[in-house]
Amino acid sequence: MIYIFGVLSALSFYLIPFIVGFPLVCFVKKLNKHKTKHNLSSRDDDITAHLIIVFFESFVLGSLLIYAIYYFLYLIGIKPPMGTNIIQLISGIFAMYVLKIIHSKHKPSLNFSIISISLVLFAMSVLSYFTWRHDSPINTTLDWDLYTHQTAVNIISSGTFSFFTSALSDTFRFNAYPTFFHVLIAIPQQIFKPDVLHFWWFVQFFHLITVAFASYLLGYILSKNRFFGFISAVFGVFTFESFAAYTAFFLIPQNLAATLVAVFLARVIYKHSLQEKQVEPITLLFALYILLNHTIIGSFGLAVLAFSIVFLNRATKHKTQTLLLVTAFIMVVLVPVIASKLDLGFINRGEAQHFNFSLNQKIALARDFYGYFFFILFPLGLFYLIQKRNSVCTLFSILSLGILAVVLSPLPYSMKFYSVGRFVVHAVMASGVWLFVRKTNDKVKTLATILLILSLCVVLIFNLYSWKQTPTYGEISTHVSKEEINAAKFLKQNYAGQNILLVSEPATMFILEGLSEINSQGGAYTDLKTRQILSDLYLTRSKENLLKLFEIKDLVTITNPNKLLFVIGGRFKQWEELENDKKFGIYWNIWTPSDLSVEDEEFIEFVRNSGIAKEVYKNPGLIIFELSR
Amino acid sequence: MGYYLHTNMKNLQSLALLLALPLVFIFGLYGVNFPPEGNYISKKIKTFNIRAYKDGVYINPQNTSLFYNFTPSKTDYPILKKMVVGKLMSYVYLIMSYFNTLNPIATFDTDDGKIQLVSSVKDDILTIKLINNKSAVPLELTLAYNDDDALSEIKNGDELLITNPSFAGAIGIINVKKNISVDKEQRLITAESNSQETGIIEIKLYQSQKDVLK
Repeated sequence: MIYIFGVLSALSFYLIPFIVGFPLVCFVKKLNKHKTKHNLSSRDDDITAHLIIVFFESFVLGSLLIYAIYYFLYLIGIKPPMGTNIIQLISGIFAMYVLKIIHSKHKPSLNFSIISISLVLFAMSVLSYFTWRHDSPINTTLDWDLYTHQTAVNIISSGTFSFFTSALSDTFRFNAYPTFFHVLIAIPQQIFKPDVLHFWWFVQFFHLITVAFASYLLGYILSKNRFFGFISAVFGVFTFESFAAYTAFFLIPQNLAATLVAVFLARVIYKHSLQEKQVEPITLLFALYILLNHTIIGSFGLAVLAFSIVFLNRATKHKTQTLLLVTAFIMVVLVPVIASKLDLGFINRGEAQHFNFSLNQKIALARDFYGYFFFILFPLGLFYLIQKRNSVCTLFSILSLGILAVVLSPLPYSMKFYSVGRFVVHAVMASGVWLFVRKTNDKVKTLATILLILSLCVVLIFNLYSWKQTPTYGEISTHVSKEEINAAKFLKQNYAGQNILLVSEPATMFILEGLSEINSQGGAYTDLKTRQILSDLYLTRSKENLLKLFEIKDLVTITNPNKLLFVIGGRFKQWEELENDKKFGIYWNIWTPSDLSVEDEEFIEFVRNSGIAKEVYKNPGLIIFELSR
Repeated sequence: MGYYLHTNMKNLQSLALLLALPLVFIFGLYGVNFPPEGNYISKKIKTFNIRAYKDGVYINPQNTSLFYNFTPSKTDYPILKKMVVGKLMSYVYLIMSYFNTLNPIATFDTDDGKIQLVSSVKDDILTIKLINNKSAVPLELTLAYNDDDALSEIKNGDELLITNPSFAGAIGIINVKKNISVDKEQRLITAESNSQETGIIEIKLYQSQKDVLK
């Protein structure tokens, strides 16, 4: 029962935009009805694909409308909770309209196909999520980024707002995305007021389900066969890119954008197959949604989509398609080679150099993600698609090769583009499996799908076993300990809303700021000056350096707090003992929770006896001092 | 005739492809990356990792660089220190380790056959056994502790407590009075093992030093 608000708020992240967007989609479709050349196929599976697309269209339109309303209300001075109440009211009115549509004679048919496909995808998602979170209960986290996003959500919920994330908090060093994602998270959290860790646990499960549907949809649109769609979904939900992308399990802006790019691509091909226009108002809104979620991944996704639209409509001749396909093959070899010869030192520096891998390292990562499945099924899938010789199959071949060319290039963050690429690559790998089973009956196909699930589940376990060595606390896998959660509750109850700054080593600041709503200087992205002050203090243990903590200034909030909350946790000493490039860089953190030990006592005693520190909280994991000048 | 031949060939081709699919799955699984040495044979108990490694089994308090290594030893005994794990069993071990259901085990080839270090857990007590059925030569089960560890006898000398400033917990040897010797110079704790008696070291795992007082 205590999880009910977590479930409801997480579900509402998808349902509220859907409810608001669905009537709009119906309205637009009604307007366009006379322009449609072909009616929808009567096949149940086609109707299911259509309904999945309508769901995502509604979600996209609803999200955009909600953000626009929220922004408008803020501009005219209506802030939370009133702003959220108005959105709640609009959702309520629209919900009645949705019910009316469902009960009208034009209701979308809930056929056996949509129910059975949904159940299969749901079951796959449950198995995958259980494998992922079996040792990470509902009050734990495995997604480090969520603390950044929760910090922005907290600030928005408190009534501060800006289009740019960097204007909200210095946790954001640059604007890779605006506050679009955060407003849409803030609304269900404001309505249901869940424990935020419960919210994230459930919303990431729902995200996995959307990844399953997007993967299924792309596979189905490619083949017009539900088994093919299932195989594509199996790759979708049982593959964990344990570096940079993390697509299936982490609900973060880049992954939401990537999932919608996959749906968008399926929608383009679907419209093309019905000989309908692929560029229309909803298309443009889809593009806007993707860009608002993540500027870089969104732009990459839009380039993929623009190419697809041009290819399907302009490159209709077999010769042109063959030429593009040959070019794509050449690109896979040439682009990484050319990129490796270029002097890219000006972008491969700082944090970026730690996210750049050699080809051999990327091959090792591919083995982590897939075992040898990628190396055998991707070429076979390409072979199958190329010999089919139709436009859509050729498009998938070209896209997958082109995306791989980018991902394999020695460019910083190039692995992040795989969050988009994985959907196309998985459809190609599904073609590789399809090559073996396409002429068999449904029983054999089902058996093959089950065997594939079991095999990929084993690969996932191997991948997770290594990945989870870091976020570990006792017998559970997590980035946050129960002691840190309890400390965050204490801080929230006693200090939230006060003009006070929280100071600790970067990881502790990051977690506590996200969970307690107490401001810190940059969290895990704290600047060099703060790091230097903390480092000097630990090494010298002088009162003079303790007072220097008051020189730490938040880069966004201009207030000058009189009090500081200085937190010493088990991570503090470990951070202090890091090599300098890790300690002063933002690419490294103490991701593993740690309790205080005897070795921490000396530093704690120094602070306790400094004369300016008052101990306000202590548990085995950390101690909190209130510092006054 | 040509039609039937063509149809049969097609069917045969489909059958061959179908039969090849399980091989694809096996090959796909064959390519997974294993963690180095025996690191995939592990268990988490409280804030301790118990793991097999090339020389035996170790306890590692989490977030520390401390290791308490259990090894089979005897200076004049030619143990081939090669840990052996079958390929299929290594998959099973890792899956069980992932779900924290495996009690770490280390198997070694010797000239006389196999010897094993076996662990088991009950009520926060970790038991490490040296199983040496094959050889008549006595073997020792040795626990090596760290240079900056402190040893103290508690509970009227029934338990030998090992603590270290870098971790909040402690480990206690609870069968210290049964065939166990402590060499403080070599920092070794040794349990005798022979054909009549199995070398056993029983350890209580304390998450915090306050738990010792309970």
